[in-house]
Amino acid sequence: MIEKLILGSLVVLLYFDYQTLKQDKKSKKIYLMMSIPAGYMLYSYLSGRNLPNLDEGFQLIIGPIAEVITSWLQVKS
Amino acid sequence: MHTGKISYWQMAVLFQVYMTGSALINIQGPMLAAAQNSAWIAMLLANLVGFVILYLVLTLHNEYPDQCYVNQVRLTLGNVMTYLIIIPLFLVMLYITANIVYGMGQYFTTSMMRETPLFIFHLLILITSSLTAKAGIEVMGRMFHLLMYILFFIFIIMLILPYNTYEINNLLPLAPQGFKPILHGVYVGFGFPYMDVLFFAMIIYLVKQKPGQSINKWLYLGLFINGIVLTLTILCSLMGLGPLVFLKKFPLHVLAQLISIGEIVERVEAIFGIALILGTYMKISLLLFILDQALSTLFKVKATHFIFIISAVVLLLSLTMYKNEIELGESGSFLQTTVTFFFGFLPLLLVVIIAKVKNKKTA
Repeated sequence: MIEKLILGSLVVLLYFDYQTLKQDKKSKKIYLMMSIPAGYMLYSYLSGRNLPNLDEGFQLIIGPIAEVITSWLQVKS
Repeated sequence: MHTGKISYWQMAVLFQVYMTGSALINIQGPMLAAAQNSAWIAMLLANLVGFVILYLVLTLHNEYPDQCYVNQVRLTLGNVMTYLIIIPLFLVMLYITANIVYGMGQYFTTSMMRETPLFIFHLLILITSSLTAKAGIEVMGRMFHLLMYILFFIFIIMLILPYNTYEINNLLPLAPQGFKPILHGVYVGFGFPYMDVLFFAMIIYLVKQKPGQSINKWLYLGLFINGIVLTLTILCSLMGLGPLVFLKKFPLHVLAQLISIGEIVERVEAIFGIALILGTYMKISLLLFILDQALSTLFKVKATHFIFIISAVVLLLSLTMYKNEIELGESGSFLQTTVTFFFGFLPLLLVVIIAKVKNKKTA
């Protein structure tokens, strides 16, 4: 419960931070763009669903190459 | 783009705390797991790789001394390529910052404050760091100066006090499984902490240029000291703990637990915790500043607007990316190097080569 309250107040604080941008429309757009992944992760965290995240994205793109390199580097005992 | 200017010495201090900050605590575990007894050699070799990255970064800085990395890429490759290179790099930086935050939280929840929820540590460090980053580079340059001395004082004390546990024989055999584990160690060290040198390219231009002087020697010296410091921590962990060292995630913490002088100076690992907080705090503050710099320069908007939202994203990333410390360990030593190599090192190399060729032609 406390966790949800803290995260909720964080969202309110971010809203006030967003309001400080006033007439700077381009900055506002970027701010909103950044808040989309934040909202997604907040939902993922609070719902406990463990939705796919940045590391899974990297894993998908780079994972196979990383696997080849590390399996070569690891010494089999 | 940020506009504040700092002196050569302040920039060298920032570079030192940036490179050594969180690595002082987090590097020993993965390095020892990868390279075993020869981890200290791997650390030195990884430091050499760090010099290569720093050389590339400084070459680019010398070509465009008044620009940050984003603008250097823009001037070299054009606008479209800048987006293609910087957006993935921005994601990599977010990922690494979240890893560092998680590493600190994990240290506290596994060794010192087991009952406290993880998110408390993440939240507190990110609030403090974001406020510091918002204060600007000059404030950080002045403030981190003193904190660096405290950090290094604790580090020296932590390595000297357990002197009675050191056994030089624990360093042997040096490389029982050949050269591959050393290479593995270098692989780990390349991803963290040495690819972080590239991210520092976002703020090197903030140094106050003086005629006839250059920042290069300060940064090379800083990197050299960083290599020595990190190698010493690995050497002392190996000598103090012996084979036990390979089972521990934070060997320096265990080493601090061993300190016992006349039954008065005992259980000083809390001081080690302070050093960890200091180092991580400084590193995250700088990374948040760098992330804001990258974003605001990329989209050509006023700087410092995005520090809080970036901090929120990092907080949520650190809370949702990993279910446990094992996943973080795997990600750090398995994925991080390859990710930073493809999204950081290769584009940097490309930009440096093209910038050199371009400037030679115009000359």
